[in-house]
This record gives sequence, C-alpha cells and structure tokens, in this order.
Amino acid sequence: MSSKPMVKPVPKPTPETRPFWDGCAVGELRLQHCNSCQHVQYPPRKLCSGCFSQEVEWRVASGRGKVLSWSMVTAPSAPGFHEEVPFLSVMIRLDEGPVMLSVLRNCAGDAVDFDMPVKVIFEQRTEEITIPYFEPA
Amino acid sequence: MTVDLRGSVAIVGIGETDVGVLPEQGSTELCAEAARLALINAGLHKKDVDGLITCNPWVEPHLYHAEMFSEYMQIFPKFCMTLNAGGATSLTAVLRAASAIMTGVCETVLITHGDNPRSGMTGAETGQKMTTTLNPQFELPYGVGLTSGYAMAARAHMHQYGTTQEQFAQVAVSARNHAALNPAAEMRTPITIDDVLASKVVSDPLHALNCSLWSDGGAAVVVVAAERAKDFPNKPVFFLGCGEGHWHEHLFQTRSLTTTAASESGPRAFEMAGMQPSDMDFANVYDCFTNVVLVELEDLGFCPKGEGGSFVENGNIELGGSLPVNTHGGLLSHSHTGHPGSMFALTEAVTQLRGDGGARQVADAQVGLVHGQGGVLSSHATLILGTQAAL
Ligand SMILES: [Zn+2]
Repeated sequence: MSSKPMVKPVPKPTPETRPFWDGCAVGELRLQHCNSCQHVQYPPRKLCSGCFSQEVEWRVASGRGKVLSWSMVTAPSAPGFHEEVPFLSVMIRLDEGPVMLSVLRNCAGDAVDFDMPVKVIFEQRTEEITIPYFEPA
Repeated sequence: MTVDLRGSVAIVGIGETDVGVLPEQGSTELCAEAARLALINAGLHKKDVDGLITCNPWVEPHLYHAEMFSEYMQIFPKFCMTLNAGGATSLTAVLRAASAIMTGVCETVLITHGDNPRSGMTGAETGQKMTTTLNPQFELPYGVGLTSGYAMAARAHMHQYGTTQEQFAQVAVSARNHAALNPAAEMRTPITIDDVLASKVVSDPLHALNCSLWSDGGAAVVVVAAERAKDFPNKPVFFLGCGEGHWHEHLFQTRSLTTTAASESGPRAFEMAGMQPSDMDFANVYDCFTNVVLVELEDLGFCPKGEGGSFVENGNIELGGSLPVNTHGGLLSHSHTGHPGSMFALTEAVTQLRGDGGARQVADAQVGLVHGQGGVLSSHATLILGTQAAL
C-alpha cells in the first residue's frame, strides 16, 4: 500500500444544495420548508417532495434532534477515516421532522441512547466546506 | 389490458460458475461462462437468444453493459437491457423477462451476471467503490460505510422488538450448516453462535461473521414462455408471481429502520401467485447481513412483525425446520459476488424445484420463494417459483 494519506471526501454543492452548505459555513443548519403543505425536507430539493410545490423556503433550523439509532464504527470502509475510528455513526430525527445521518462527537459509546437529545456542531473540512456534526445536548 | 403472468414463463436453463477466489477470470469472462453453462443446461444455441439482461459489475463496468456483452458474445438480441437494483437485480430481471416474453417482444431471454470483486479490486478500491452507493453530499463526508447502515437498522430492531445478537448469529450458523452440505459453497466449516459473537466487531452490533462473504463468480438463467417449457432437456421451473417495492436509495431517507419495502414486494408476489407464505417449501432471502434475514422473513409474512428473532432459532430455518432458508449457504457462506449475488439464490431455487439438491434437497419441494434486496434495505424484489404440479 502507498503511504500517501487518504483525503476525506468533500461535498460538492449543487445549485439546489448550496444554501445548505452556505449555512453550515456560517454556523447555521438550514432546512427547506414548503409554503404550500408545510412539509420540511432534507436533503434539499428544488421542489417540495411532499406536494411538488416549488414554494420552498430556506429557514434556520433549531439544530436539535433525537437519536434514532447508532453504531460504533470500528472498521471504516470509506477512505480517509482510518485515524478517526472508532466513531459513532448516528441517525438523528431533527426536531423539525427530517432524518439526518451524521456522526456523534463528545459522547462515549456506552453513553449514547435511543431518543437522546443532541444538538448540531460544525467542523470545518476545507476553506469552503463545513460539515454538520452532533453532540449530546 | 393486463397480462396474467402467473405460470406464463418458465426457467429452462441455469448456469453457475465456480465461486470464491478466482484470480484468473475477469468479470466479463465470468458473465460469459455463466451464460454458456445456462445455454448448455437449456439445450440451446446462442442464435436462439433474442433477449438479454445483464447487470453492471464492480470490476470491468461498461456504460452500456448489455450492449457490450452482446458484442462480446456475438449475439444480437431484440430486447437488451442492463439492470441495476443492487442485490434485487436478478429478480427484477426475471419480471422484465416475463413481461417482454408475454407481450411478444422476444421469446428467449438470457439473464446473466458475473463479477470478480474479490480478486479484481484491492481493498482500497473496494472501499472507494462501495462508497459510491452513499449519498455524496449527505452520507459520504462522514466516513460511514454500508455496514454501519445495516448495523443501525440491526440496533433499531433489537430496541424495538427485543431481538438479540444471539438470534442474529443463529442466521449465520444455519447458513453455514447448509453450505456444509453444498460442495459448491465457499465456506463449509460449521460455526457456532459463540464463534459469531467472538468474531471481530465491524460496526456494532454486527461482527465479522454477521457479514456476508466477498467473492468472485457468476450465474445465469434462461427464461421462455411456459408453453415451450416441455421442449427442454431439464425439468422446467415456472414463474408463479413477482413483486417489487422501492422506498429509498439512502438509508437515512427510509420510511422505517425496522420495516422494509419487502412488506410490499412480498404481498404483491403472493397475490400474483394466489398463494400465502405458508405455501412455501423453502425461501432463499437476501442475507448480506444476518439481521436482514430476520427483517425479510417478518416483512414477507413468514412470522409476525418483530418475531423474526425467535423464528430463526433452534434450526427452524434449516433443512428439517419449518422453512429452510438459503439451502445453498446464501451470501453468508456460499458466496457474495456483488450484484450477481442473488442470482445464486435464484439458481438454487431452480435446483431445489428440479429435485437436484442432493444432500441439501428440501423433501418434495414444489414451491419456493426468492427475495433480493439492494442498496441498504433499498430495492426489494420477491419471486415465487414452482414445479409443474404447482401451476
Ligand atoms: Zn409541499
């Protein structure tokens, strides 16, 4: 194996996701709200996946949610994370409704639990891109 | 106008390559070898094939794979498609073959898949390829893999229904017991529940022996109209029903962590077949991870929701139990060749219904179910097959 360090993946924003990533860069978790049916969605889309209205509006979310499930990852399959293991992969139900996949920081493996309240934190990956992580609230 | 597909077509040929570590064979070559064997098994010449369905392999992918493959084989079909529903691909292919034949588009469909992810890629390449199934912006940046998705689903099932790690482990033990009876299987040495629990943790609660193999190999089937089925050298196996369900691609977008679209594909297949779960003599269900088997057995209706754990205990899913599952050894112990994986569950079902199962034959098998699942609990397809007597 080559000794070249593997680089962690960096999201490439698209026109419809750029407001989300712009929000992360300034410390805001942003979600789309539909003005026709009140559906809140993630990931971002140009139309509402609930009713296909195009009247979707960006709002700053609470950044809070609850743990739906988790796994302590000890053998990462993705490149660039071999120094980071073990880490807690989590599925989070945001207070606004949508589910996010993320990683839980500042929490021991035996401290995490179902429905545990969590809040968003941000970690800068590159000059342009900041990634939303979570920690116990 | 609708076409009744029940009993409309039959599988008249099957082909299986060797599986395991095959460093001398590329994915196209394995696809071709499976096709060649299936045509011999059906007593057909390549000029008889007028429909072709392939799937893109991990190694040697092509933008238009089925076109490439028809060129490679020098067969010139009038129905030609590359399907991509992950581990459900092989079964969605059978439904499309039946639909094409019964609408007069073509007469003889060859479905063939081959891949060599074990030998054809380095560990790093495999890791990189695997992550292409993740959402590039909203999953990939976290360094999670496919296994952690299945692990989170496993933990949710344990929490919601009291399922135990011992029950997950039992699925691996039963698969290995079947593989021990199958000379073609990759892993044949029996294991115990303790062996599974003592194996390395990959993504808790999943240990290494809860995870399927990673193998080279290929398999193929030939599908024709049922009215032609008597003209072939081997016992035909008839299509009785098929259903699909598609809820998400990425697990965080799923409608449930503990119930899958198998709860829709199964009832659709049973309705077409005019049958119920209790009519099945065996079931070959997708076992990329042990917990998936429990969920599928529940969602397909073989036991009440949440009782998959107790259903798989005490050899109930082994030969002699109420529902033998994955008699060939499954992805856990026969082979997991990537997308072609569920093709072996299909060829095994045909083998059982022909009565050719040898030491692992299910006594008097007349009807069997095959279920495939792709992605992370994403695409689901259920196929019900039967003998002439089941028509
Ligand atoms: Zn809406």
